[in-house]
Amino acid sequence: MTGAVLFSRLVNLLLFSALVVSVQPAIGFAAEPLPDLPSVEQQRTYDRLIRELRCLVCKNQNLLDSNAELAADLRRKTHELIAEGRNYQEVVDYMTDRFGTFVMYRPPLKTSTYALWGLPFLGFIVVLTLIIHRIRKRSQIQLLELGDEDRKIADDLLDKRKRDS
Amino acid sequence: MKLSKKRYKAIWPFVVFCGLAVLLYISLGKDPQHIPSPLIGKPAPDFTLPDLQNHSLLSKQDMQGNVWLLNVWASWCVACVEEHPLLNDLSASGIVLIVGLNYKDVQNNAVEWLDKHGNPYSFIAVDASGDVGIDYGVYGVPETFLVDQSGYIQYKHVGPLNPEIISQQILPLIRLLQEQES
Repeated sequence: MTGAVLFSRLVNLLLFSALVVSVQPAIGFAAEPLPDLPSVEQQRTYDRLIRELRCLVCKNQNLLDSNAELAADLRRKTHELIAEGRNYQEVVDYMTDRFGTFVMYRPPLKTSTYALWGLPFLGFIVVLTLIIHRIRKRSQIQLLELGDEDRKIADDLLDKRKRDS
Repeated sequence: MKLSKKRYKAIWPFVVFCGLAVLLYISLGKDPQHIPSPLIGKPAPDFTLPDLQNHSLLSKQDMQGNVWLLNVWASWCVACVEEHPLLNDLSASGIVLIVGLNYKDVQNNAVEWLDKHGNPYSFIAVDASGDVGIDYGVYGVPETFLVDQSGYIQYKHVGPLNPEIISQQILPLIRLLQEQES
């Protein structure tokens, strides 16, 4: 076996072990088995909530995706509250009472978030108005009636091109 | 006339740029880790937890009538070591009652940690499950709450305390609350 082959095998081995190590945390996902909730409806509410609630430590992950200990605690709490018979809105209220609206991935519509919700629509309307304005202006130009003189010049030019080709 | 209108139009990208620059500059000074707590101005959540030192039950009512600090800590928390001397000093000064909330910790580790770093707490509530932490909206240790005589949360700080926060925010607030009482 030549040195080059040996070297490339070594590199492969290293790459492979790096892959295994980097995949490790993902395996942890299935851990922490919470028992199924009594009804399908409750299970659905739970599944929806852990997708919509934010893991506050990691900021850009929801409770479902996060491995953080706080996320596990909040999943357990959500599970517990639903098992107690609380509905979607009651769990949301419970969480926002404690952690603020930041815990929700979808920010609620209220005075402090009007700009957040409104600006995209405002921007859309502004751009739409500009586009309509442009199109109108352009179509106005096309609609201009040619005077007799202009038409004659244009015809002459076109004739000339025909002759040339 | 036509030229001036064109010039007027050309200024818009510049205006938008300035607006964005101002917004970004303002955000630069903000701490992205800081999440405003909805608990400020509200009654501190009730709790009944064992005390780390004497194993009797401890509840919020035991602090009634005092201005108190609730410091959330754990032996596994690295930043807690950083702020701990400040709490020790504050405790020695006797200005305010300091209560610890030992958050998701192992009892022996917690006791050892206090032996090593000093114990500024008059009481230490043991929250092994983290449930009381959830009630207080704890998402990062250390966190510190200031609670007034009637049990209302007046102030919250997330992350390690520093001398500026204590002297410029916490101490004046304690003084104010204690004056209102007398």
